[in-house]
Amino acid sequence: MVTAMFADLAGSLLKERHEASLPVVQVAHPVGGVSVTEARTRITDAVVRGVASSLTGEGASSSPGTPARDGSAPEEAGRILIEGGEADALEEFHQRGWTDGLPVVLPTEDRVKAALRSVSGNPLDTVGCLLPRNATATLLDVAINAVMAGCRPEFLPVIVAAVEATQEADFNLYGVQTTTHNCGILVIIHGPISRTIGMNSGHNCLGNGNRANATIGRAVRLVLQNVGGATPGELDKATLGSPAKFTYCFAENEEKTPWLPFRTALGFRAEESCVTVVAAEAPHNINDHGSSTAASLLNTIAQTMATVGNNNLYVGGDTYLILGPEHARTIADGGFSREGVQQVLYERARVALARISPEKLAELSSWGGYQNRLEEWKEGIPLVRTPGDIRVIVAGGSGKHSAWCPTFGATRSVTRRIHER
Amino acid sequence: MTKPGFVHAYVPVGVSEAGMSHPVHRLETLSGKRIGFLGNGKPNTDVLLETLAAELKKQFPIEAFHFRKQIPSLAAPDELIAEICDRCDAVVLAVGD
Repeated sequence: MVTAMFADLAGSLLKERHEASLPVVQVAHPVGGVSVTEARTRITDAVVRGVASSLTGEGASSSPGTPARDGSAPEEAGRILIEGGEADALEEFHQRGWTDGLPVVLPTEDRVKAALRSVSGNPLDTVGCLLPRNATATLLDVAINAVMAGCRPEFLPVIVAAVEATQEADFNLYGVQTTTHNCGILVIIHGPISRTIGMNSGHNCLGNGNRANATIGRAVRLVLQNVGGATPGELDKATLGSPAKFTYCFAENEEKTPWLPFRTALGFRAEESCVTVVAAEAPHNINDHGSSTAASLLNTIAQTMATVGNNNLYVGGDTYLILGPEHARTIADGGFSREGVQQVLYERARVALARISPEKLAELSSWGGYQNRLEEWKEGIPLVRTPGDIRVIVAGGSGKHSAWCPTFGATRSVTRRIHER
Repeated sequence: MTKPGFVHAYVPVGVSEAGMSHPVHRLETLSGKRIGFLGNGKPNTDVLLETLAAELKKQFPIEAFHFRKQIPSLAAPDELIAEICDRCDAVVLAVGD
């Protein structure tokens, strides 16, 4: 039983998960945000009859099942012949919903083969099974989408590792791909490869102007959209979406990090390159040109993060603080380790109960025993559930700015080693 | 492989595992059956299912069991699904929003 606005999502998911003949009964949208009295009116006589007949099969059609969308072998099904020139082919790609709305590079055989030469393994090796479409992404599929995004061949190992990272259960790819939340996939590159492929970890690293930053993030999005099935408005049900869903990628600024680099703090070796995927909102800027001490600056950061309406506060998960190098230096000079920063922000980035509506608090009471901890949290609800859930990384250039990236909440970031050929 | 006047390119969508649907097991009758009701935890989903169960009970001699996910955005844990399978003959899911 689903609200009418989500009936297409339910139908598509059941089809992709081999359950297309399970009946779906619609009720009027919305169910949330209305009074209990109004919610009860959603159960009409027709809904009751529909559920009863669905349980017994009375009146159900005998569906023979649904054919696979692309069920034949990749060598056969994986190519398209388009009449005309490259411009006509690109128009065809737009028409078929295979782009993000911006022009793409046509994935010709020569271009895709060149990309594949940068990774080890057979082109048909599986990188992952991508939800919600439950589709296999091979090295070939990832390479095709990387070419479309405009990647150079040497970017491919990074994208493969990023797609692999989304397979971790805690990442919750299914939820991330289909949620009404606006999260994009933040891709962070750590270690030597970020320099080898010319990534930007300095000025404007979260913005425009660098090919690797721009196209690696875009490629991951295209893989998840085209292979994973997160087609906007269909299986991707984001209410608003975000510019971060086009591309969202930067490299860690290790040279300006006053602590251990992010990956070595997690236990990876310094010579290893890694990628982290985060289901995150677009960055929220934290401007503080005035504070000259760590305590003052951390207070500004904590108060910026202590907001109502973000999923971390409601659900938990981990959340990302990107410190600009000058802010990081001020904090480190004040004697704070990364763990010290996490602890202070955990204690100070709190939301007073009075800032949350009674209805929202009541809703939260059913989410993981949230309300049972209100006594513990009477001085304020913490942004996340443990200090370590506040991930701290350094990036950017000169200036007194940092950024906070709230996440989907029902997700945890994943860091994976990048295997270079 | 080129053909004059045509462009050859790869398709970027991979291979879906979706194939023929599994058959749906139906109840022969609702009489005396144990029906589970599992909400996703979004607001008023419990209201929806409790109202539905009450209406069904007026018309059919069923026994209703209510379940709830802890976090709407996460899949139901295996233990909960096993419990539902153990206690119920059929289950109605509600996805509210």
